[in-house]
Amino acid sequence: MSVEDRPGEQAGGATVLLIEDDPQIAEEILAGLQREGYQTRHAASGTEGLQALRDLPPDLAIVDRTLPGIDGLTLIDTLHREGYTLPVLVLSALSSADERIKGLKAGGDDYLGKPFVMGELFARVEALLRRPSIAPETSLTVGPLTIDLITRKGLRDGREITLLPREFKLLEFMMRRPNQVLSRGMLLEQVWNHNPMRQSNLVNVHMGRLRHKVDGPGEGQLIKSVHGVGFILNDKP
Amino acid sequence: MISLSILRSAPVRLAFAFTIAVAALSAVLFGYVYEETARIETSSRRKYLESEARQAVLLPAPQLLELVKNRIATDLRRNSFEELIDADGHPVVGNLPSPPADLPFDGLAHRLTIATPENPLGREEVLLVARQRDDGAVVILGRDLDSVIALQEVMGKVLLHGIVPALILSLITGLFLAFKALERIKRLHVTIGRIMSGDLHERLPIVGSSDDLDRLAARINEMLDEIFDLIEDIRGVGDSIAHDLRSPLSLMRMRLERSMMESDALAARGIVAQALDDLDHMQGTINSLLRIAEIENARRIEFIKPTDLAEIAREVHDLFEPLADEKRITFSLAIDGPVIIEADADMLAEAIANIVDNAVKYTPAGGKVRIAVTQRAGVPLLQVHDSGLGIPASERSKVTQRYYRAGRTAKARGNGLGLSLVAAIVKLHGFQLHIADVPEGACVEIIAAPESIELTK
Repeated sequence: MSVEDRPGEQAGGATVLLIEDDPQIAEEILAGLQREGYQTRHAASGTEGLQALRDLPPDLAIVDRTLPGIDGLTLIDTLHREGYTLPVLVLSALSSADERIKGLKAGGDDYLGKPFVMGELFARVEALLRRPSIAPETSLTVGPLTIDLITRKGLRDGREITLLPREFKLLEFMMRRPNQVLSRGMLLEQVWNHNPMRQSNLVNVHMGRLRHKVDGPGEGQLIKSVHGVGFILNDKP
Repeated sequence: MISLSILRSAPVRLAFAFTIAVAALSAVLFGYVYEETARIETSSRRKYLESEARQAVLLPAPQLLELVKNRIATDLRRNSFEELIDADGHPVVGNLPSPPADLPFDGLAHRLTIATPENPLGREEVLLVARQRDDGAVVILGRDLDSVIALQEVMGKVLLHGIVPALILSLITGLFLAFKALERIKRLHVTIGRIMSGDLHERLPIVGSSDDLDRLAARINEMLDEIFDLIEDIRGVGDSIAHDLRSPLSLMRMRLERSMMESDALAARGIVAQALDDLDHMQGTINSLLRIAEIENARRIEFIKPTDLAEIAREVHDLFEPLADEKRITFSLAIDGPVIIEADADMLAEAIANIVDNAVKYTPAGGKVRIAVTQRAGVPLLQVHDSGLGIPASERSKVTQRYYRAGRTAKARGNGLGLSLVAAIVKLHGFQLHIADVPEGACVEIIAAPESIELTK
């Protein structure tokens, strides 16, 4: 698949505040976010960033972990204490193994290690802006696709799909986030609870099997790959 | 400057301290012998004088007078003193210029400095005893101490002649040993200087005396060997990394160059996409290295809690099952109820996933991979057994080293860091990583017990 498959328009003009002190990295990220249709603002230090956040809260903040002034994680603690609930994506050259990062992820925010693929950043920003539906439904429907959360069976246009437990888990995760790019890293982390450090074709193999069952012969493709990033489940082929 | 620095050196200081100690000890000994000689000599005279006085007072008066006179007449060497004083205190007969005022009439010998016929100025040390008779008269008897003093002088001379050379000798010996030690330390300094300036093959000289300095030098040499090995390892790692990054880099450069020349935009994009894949691979290598360094540098695990080893094995099996299936590898799981150990579940899963990833990668199509969780002698144990080419015994210790890839695996794409990461995680937990000897393929074990617990099959 090629790069155009990435559906950026869904960003819907949300405002993203980037707090990053490296001007070159900031420039690339800002340009990328604008291309994806986001309104962007930029702060070059922790102090400046906190001020900008208080002045006019954005829909989402991207915060570098090591910043001049107030460091990223302290800034987030301050925000949470002051009652702000906006989602935050932390960027860092440090690895994701430590305790505070685990806490961050548990609190609904996210973390991305540098260096990263731009598509991965967009996928995570999008995921944070569109928190998945967690309503206690008994079934989920995306376009021609329906899964029953109780019988754990799938249907596509009346055709029954038999799914292994792990395939069901993956499909459910994707159906709660339709039309949204899901990176391999996010899938490994969130579906299998696995550290996404290694470049591996594990996710591709799992997805290949699921796709084989969801998109039968003659049917249009609902699951598509997004080059260099991951996969997307569309509601229309 | 030089003399000052020598005074500051430990062996020289030790030599001086030793000499001072010898001198102090000699002085104490000298003083003791000197005093003791005089005391013994004096005390025999004392007893003799006291008994003479006791007998003298019992004699009848004329006989006593006769005795005193007789003693004075026969005392040619002038070394005894006699005086007879009547009841009114007047001297009757005697050879003392004046009776000493401070001598009590107690019949005990006293050491006094008085005037004598030979020494009228009153500078002679003598022993005197005074005893009163029943009729009130007092008998004073005495001896000079010339021979005692002479003995003491001789003793003093003898001891001085012995001690001074001994002190000089001990100082010379001490300094000799100190300078000898200094000489060795200087040689060590020179050698260390050479090592510090980059001559890593140089080793500290060993004299062969197996003394402290020799043992220390031998230990430092061992340390240098270890450091040298580590440096070689790091150099090897650096070379491997450079090599592994260079191939995708040059490939990437060629692709980007070609994409610049490509007139068709779509084709150019395709090439750029390939270049991005190369870049991702390099990034993966760097991330792995950083992750290993992070785990190796961690002192302790922050998120340790009771964890079910069997459950982790099941999850990893589930994750890799499709991948093994693609390669037509029979991938089985042997677990038997929960096995609870103290661990960081995420890290442990990462380690097990890496072992399984390796096993699946290096097992040829149609082979077998088996994960098993068991107990051996009551110790929980996870085994990943594959039917691949196996790891030769000579290479088993190496595969867990960072950036080692056994010859067999060179063809498979991977960055050779998998088992190093496993080794780092296992070590951080205080567990053992063991590559078991099996007839076919390889069997990697994580033993959830510290090194101290020996497990043999």
